[in-house]
Amino acid sequence: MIKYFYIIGKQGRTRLSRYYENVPLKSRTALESDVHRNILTRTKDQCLFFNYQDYKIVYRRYSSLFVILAVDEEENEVASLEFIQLFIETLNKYFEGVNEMDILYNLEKIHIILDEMIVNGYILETNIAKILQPIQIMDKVSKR
Amino acid sequence: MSDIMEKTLNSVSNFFTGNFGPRNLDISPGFDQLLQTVKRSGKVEVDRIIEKQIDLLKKKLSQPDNGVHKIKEYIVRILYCEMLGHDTTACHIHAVKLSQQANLQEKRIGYLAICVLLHENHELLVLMVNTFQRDLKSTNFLEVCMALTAVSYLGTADMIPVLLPLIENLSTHPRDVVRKKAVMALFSFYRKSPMLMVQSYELFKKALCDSKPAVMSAALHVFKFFIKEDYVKYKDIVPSLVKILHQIVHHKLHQDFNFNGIPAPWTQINILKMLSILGQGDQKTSSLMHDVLCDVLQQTKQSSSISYALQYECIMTITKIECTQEMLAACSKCIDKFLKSTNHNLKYLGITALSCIVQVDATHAGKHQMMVIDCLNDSDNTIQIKTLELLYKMCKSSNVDVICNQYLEYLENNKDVYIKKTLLQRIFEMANNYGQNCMWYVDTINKVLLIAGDQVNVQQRNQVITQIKDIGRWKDADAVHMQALQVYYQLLCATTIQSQALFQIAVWVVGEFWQPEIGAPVQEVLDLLCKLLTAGTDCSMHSPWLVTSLGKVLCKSKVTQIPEVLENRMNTSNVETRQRIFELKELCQDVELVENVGLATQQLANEVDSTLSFLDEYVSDALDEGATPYIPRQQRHTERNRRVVSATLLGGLKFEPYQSPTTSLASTSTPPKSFNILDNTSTQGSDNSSKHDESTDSLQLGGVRQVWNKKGYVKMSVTKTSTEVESNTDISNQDPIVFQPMSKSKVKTPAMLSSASASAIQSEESVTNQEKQFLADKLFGGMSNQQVENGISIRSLDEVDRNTDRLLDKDVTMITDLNLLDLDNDRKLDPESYEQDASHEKSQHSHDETMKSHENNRISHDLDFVSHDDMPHATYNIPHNLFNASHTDKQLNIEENMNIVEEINIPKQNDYTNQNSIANMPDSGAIGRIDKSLPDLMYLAESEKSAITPNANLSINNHTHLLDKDDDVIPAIPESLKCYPSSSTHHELCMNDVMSLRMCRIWKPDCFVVLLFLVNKSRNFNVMDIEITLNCPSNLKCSINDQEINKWSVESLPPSSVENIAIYFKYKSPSLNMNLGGHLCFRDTNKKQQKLFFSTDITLTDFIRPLQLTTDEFGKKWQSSMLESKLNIEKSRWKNIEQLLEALTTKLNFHQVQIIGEEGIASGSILDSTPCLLHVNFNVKSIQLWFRTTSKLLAECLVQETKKLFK
Repeated sequence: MIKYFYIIGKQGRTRLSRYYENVPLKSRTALESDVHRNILTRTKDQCLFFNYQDYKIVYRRYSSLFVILAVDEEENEVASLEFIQLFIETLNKYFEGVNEMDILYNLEKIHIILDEMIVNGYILETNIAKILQPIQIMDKVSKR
Repeated sequence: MSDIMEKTLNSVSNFFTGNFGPRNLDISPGFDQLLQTVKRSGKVEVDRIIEKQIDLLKKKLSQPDNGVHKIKEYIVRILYCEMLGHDTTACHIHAVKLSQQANLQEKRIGYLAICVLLHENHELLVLMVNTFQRDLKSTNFLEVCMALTAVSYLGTADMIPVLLPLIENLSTHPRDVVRKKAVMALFSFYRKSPMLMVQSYELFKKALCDSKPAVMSAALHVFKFFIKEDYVKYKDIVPSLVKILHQIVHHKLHQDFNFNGIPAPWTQINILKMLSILGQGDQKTSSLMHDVLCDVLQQTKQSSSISYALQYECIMTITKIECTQEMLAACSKCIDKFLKSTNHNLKYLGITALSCIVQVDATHAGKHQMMVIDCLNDSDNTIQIKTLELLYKMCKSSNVDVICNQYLEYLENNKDVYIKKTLLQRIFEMANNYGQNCMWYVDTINKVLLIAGDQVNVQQRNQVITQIKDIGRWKDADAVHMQALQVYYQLLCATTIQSQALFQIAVWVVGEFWQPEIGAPVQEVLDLLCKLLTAGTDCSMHSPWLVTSLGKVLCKSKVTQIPEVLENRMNTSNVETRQRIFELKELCQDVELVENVGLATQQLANEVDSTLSFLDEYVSDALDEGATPYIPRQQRHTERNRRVVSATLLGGLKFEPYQSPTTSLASTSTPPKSFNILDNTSTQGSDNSSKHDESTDSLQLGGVRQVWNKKGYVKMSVTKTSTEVESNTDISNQDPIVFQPMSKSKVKTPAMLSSASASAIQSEESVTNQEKQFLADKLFGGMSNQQVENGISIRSLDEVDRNTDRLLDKDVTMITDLNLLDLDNDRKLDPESYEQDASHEKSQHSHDETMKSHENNRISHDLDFVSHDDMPHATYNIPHNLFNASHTDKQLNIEENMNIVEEINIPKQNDYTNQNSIANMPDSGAIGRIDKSLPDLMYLAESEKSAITPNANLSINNHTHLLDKDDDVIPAIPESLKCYPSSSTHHELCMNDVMSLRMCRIWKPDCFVVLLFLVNKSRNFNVMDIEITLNCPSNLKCSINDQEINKWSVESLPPSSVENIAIYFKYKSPSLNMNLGGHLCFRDTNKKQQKLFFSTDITLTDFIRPLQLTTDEFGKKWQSSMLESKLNIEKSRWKNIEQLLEALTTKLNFHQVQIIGEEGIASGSILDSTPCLLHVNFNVKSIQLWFRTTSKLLAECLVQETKKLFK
């Protein structure tokens, strides 16, 4: 089960957050910055996952962004790590070369893509073509 | 793992290419400006800007003339503001409105916004129900998808009745994307309200067999959830899962599903996780998975991280199910690769996988010891924590002190509350289970409490207190208690203790163990306690503890005046303290009462008259009046079924002290008085005497041993048969000198070898390396030994190991010029361990042969100076072979017995074994994409299910029986049930290395009996606290020992013995599926709680009995108003009516009434009550069967049963 999904900038500014379990709005920012702080303390030669509270944080750094996944105890860490990679590859395919500004300016599209991949904390689709199918149809329809 | 770097770099470079795809370029200037300013500003400023923005949005959204396109952007802005942590509740209603728009794009944003902004208890959701309904019915699949996604997030239990029919319809939608989302929506409904979703199981099952992999993988999540809830029910999906996995692994999926060359890795991982749960402790189910697991491990030869993740998951699965040695070896190779990698992620996987494999086979850790030590000192705390977990799983009495030290070291440097809690719990567990020395225990616990005392809960505190007090546990309880008293007394005197738990423990110990003659003077103790009492506040948690302790001291020292402090505290607001003070005051004023109470507490602590001699008179009176004499527990089960033990006067008594059957009568010092009486009376009963003696011989029962007398714990010697660890602690009367030569040779243990080898390479390696090696030896020394022991506990080896280690600690340099003499001398100085060794020598008399070969083996290694790493292998082989050889005869015997049993019993449905083997055969013809071949799965699952009819398992079970080495106990059916027909073999329900639960079906005329044989397979150990819980089919009435219960328990089961449990089933109402499930709980030899699950099908034929009718009677019954069900079967297989009816009657257990021409009639009954009639018409074209009975459902059940039988 995935608990939440973040994209956080190097400076600690949240670029995307999606919660799959109920976290009150008030404690969200504190949680985000605490996770971010924890990640910053980790060096390059440490693993890309660590225990946080009673679950695990898996993260990956792309340029100046951290993509962060919080998963429960039973989830496979490396597979989650690769799932982050899959997500970025999907964005890359959709935006034909994704960059930081895309994520900032297309918040809703990223959310829609994420919605295809994860539903209620479960990984639903990992086939990039199938993930992008609905949003691409929608783009076509609206262009007409 | 250069590929990760590569990928990362790739994406990084893409970040700046400026190649624009379908980007949102028509962003309004207002939003653009907002994003830009937020990007530039500091935190405080951002908050201000966002607040302003929200106000603006509120205003703009409430304007009536907004274009839909504008609203869409405003909603995205709201999402943005909410993401930055600002409350936008006022605007949420606009998101709801947007979702009701007709335009796809806007609708999608609206739906997205409600998913992100609302939660499932939100009041606005009421407004959404209509929208959901409309969109779920939409012809545009995108609209349906949006609604389904939103329903999976926000669907509430109230919505289920309205939305469920719509979503169920969608599960057959032509588009797979809709079907998969429908599955997820149904799943979220199921999680919220399982009761309302009972019928959906079929839909999920259909989804699992869907032709599209996307739908199937969605259904996997659902089944994983089911399996986690209760996996026994879902064992029948194992073949389907295995087949799916097989197809994925063999690239039957479309290439799009590949990730880095691995097909659908996340789906594979999901299936592996499910298999690991389903295969736990179940040899039969596990064996179905073996091939495909090997395939998974094989396919992932590539070096990408996802393939490592898959390998790791596969290792986890293999170690959890019942696996073969070869598979473990393959896993070990993978782990090797992981650990040797420089990548930290892989190291992490390696350590985690190692801690799993260690639980199955401890030798694997030995190979990696240096690696583990490195990981323990790794700079990455994630790896450190995992390594500590590994150590915890390797913990034994020989290395517990080293491991606890490591834990303490880590605890000291860690601040994280969650980690502290876990580590703390583990230290407590290890110390409680493996701590050998009380002072060490006290010391360790104190250290832990000083470091992390704030995380200790009440339960753990109480555990410590009982452990310290537990006299049976420590060698010299009185001395131990005195030492504990001193430690804690000094602790209380010297420092102010921060940890609440530690303080309470200390106060308790002082009160409990202080004695007037020894220890500090009364006044000093009283002063200390009073000082502590005044130091605390009125409502301090400590005061009740202090008052109680004070009370104990006062009583023991016979001081009649309570201290002034207590007088002052009599009006304290703390009710508990006040009550205790009043009680104490009352006590102190009454000298006589004090003496009585004091005496009582002393007796409680030290003297329990467990022989129950005070009951002698009562018992003999009862016997005179004709009560049944007491029969020891072990003998009872043979007689239990013959006569129901009436509720005698003795029925209510608990005969706790009659515990272990391992000690023979000769070893008990004085047989207790009460036992004599009982024994005599039982021998007085004329024919009882000889039988009694016989059974003592065969079962090694011997009687009871006296554990307690008025002077306290009785020390006793260990007999040949007992090698239990507990009993080893109390051996003092053995003469050490007798065994000297033997123990001399014993000194050549692996630990010494390794230190010798260490000395050889010492010149090259730095001192730090040496230290690591020592640590490794300490941690792993026990590991290799365990293998040598081959399951038989030979603690003496460990002991020597530990002594050597102690030496190593004292003086490192001494090791370099180490020789045998030195060690020997030192060992002589340590008489305590010597004694233990010696006594073990004796206890292992029977294993001498094996031991000698070990000895030789070791000596040869000593000469060769073989490195420590090779040790486990070399020594392992020999005992293993010996073991095998001694068992071949036995196996033959069993085989013969089996054959005989089979011939005697009524053969039934034997040809079903064939079917089973067909179902088990891998489908070699499966070619093409999964889309094509998946529909077969449904059929496969069906046929497999039918193959689980009882006797169908015959072939498999025979097989496992014969291979089972430990199988020297053949359970017998008790006399009372012997006269009825029974199943020919005993079906193994569940097993592990200690226990096995087998089942035999007995068809009594008036009921169906399942006879369970509970077998303790271990040779030396009692299995404790056994409990069996049954999940009976709701349509059956189940009773055990004439009581309608579904639980059965026994406190202990002696080694190599069998306990019978007869479960009687009556048929209440018809049901198509009957499954008897349940679980078996027990504490194994390490006192660890174990749980095994089992499940088996009960068929209708188990309840059918032939009904003798004449043709006339049959005719009358047929005419009477009975309900009918009809079945047509193919004719091809049957030559004539005789053959068909013969087959029908034997399989269904019917009575053949008559055959007239092409028609035949037969009759049966459900447990001799409800009649069931069968009429067969053998036409030229087809065969028709009619079943008539009292209920339509029962007739239908009979039809289904016949179908199953003739498939």
